[in-house]
Amino acid sequence: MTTRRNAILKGVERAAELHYELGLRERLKGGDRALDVLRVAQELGLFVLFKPLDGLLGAYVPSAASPGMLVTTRRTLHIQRFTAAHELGHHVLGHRATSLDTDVGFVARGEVAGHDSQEIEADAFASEFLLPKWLMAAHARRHHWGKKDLVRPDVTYQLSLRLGVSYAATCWALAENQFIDRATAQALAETPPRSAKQQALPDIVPASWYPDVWVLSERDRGVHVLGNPDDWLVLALEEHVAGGYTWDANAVASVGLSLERDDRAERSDDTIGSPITRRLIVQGAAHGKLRLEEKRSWDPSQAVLNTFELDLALDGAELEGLPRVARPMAA
Amino acid sequence: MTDAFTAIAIEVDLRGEWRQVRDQGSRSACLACATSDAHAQCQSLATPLSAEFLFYHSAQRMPDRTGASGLTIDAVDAALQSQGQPSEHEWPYYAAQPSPWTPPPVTRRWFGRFGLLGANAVADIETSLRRKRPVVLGVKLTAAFVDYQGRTALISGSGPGFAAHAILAVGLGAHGTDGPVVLIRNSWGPTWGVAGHAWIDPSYFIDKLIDYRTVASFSPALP
Repeated sequence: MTTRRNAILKGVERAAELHYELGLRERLKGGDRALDVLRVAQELGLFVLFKPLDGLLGAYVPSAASPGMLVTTRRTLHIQRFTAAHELGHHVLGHRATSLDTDVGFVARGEVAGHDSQEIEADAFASEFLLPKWLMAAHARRHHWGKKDLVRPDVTYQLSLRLGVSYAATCWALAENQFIDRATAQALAETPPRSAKQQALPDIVPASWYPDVWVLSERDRGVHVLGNPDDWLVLALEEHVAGGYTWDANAVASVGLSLERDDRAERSDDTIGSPITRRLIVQGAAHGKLRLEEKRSWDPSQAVLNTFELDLALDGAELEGLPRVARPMAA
Repeated sequence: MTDAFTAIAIEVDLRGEWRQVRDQGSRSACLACATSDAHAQCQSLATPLSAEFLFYHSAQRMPDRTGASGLTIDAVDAALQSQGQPSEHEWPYYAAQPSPWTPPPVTRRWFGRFGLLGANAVADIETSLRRKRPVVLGVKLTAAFVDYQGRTALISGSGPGFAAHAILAVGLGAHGTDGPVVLIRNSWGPTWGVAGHAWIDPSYFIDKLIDYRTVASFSPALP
């Protein structure tokens, strides 16, 4: 057990060192994006190639001249990212043997039996590198999520989307970082995110509940949305309509999104003049800046009261070849 | 008199009772703006009353006290009766919410109260207008209302309503065979509608009228 524990500590420590060496804590302190593991691999000179691999999630190939990793194209973006972090772990931990990986995330799940110390080190590195306590705290701070909120499946699910990892990995990381206890994490992990998705899309029955459902509010202003082309984005924005100001929804089409629903929440109280929540539900393979403006549609000055911007990367899983970040046209 | 563009035969038109329409900006002050104009008219004042003052004292009666979440009829009624309103020049309206938000000392105030009309909404609004009394209306907004640029004669009653807004009924007319139509004064500045006004089809009031009140002068009990 001591060996396993030491292996975990070694992986965690190396992840923390790399965060420091690359200034990642400073770069991500706003809680506005997930850690971009593929960009880090590129910065470290690690060759990354995506291939359709059979029975394998990824592989690390050490080489003094040109170390590299292979990652399967046959899994989701979240699993690709975790696999890449695992292979990056092998690299930055100085492992000298080629590693063929059929399983990742086992350290966080508490399933280390049967894995050698280098695999445990790499896997502990991956968890800590993608899900450090400070990054989870930064996202929670931005959204005003306290510990009481993080026991809710819908909140944990939304946090997982923003961290760019699976819902289950987020549950375990919340426990590992003492936001919640292990039993709560177990209960959360056993609650499938489908109910959270249905809660966010109460009046829509999509063809499948497999796509993710992002609930985005003013607190997501300017964030990087790393997702899939079939993800649903629910934009819930405060609208000062009693002053004549409305969000101009026409901009969604300019970035390749289709507007699937446009409605406003009814208020049940007897106040007159209060702002309301405008809900725009959009979907599409969008990449680039979405900028919405709240203004008076009839006003010749077109003065803008508020703006809401998202940096969209709804490109989905990496395809065969180099990662998008390494391609000449990559943003 | 018939409006050349809208072909509406105008029966009552109180637009001349006030100067340019107000612009509440993005603040939740529509009820204070509409009530202030009705109040000034019932007091036979040639100059406007301070909507800022009424907004402030009404907001103090709301749970958050900031005015950011709108006002209720009861809160505005209580402020009208208890604090009244000075002239606009004593506390002019702020385009954006000030911080801190503190009323200045004022020299003179006028007091008012809401008057209840009968249960026959449209008929009672018409009757009040024929008596030259504007009516404060709480209505649900529609997309057609929000986007109205004065290119059609009327704002129709079609479409779902979604948010509570206050306006002032200031005129009455007839449009074709559709029956009486109501002229409203908004608080979104002079570029909305026709110089800040619009004619509304009475069908709008079938399912989008929340409340309707007149304003009368009021003499508070002496301490």
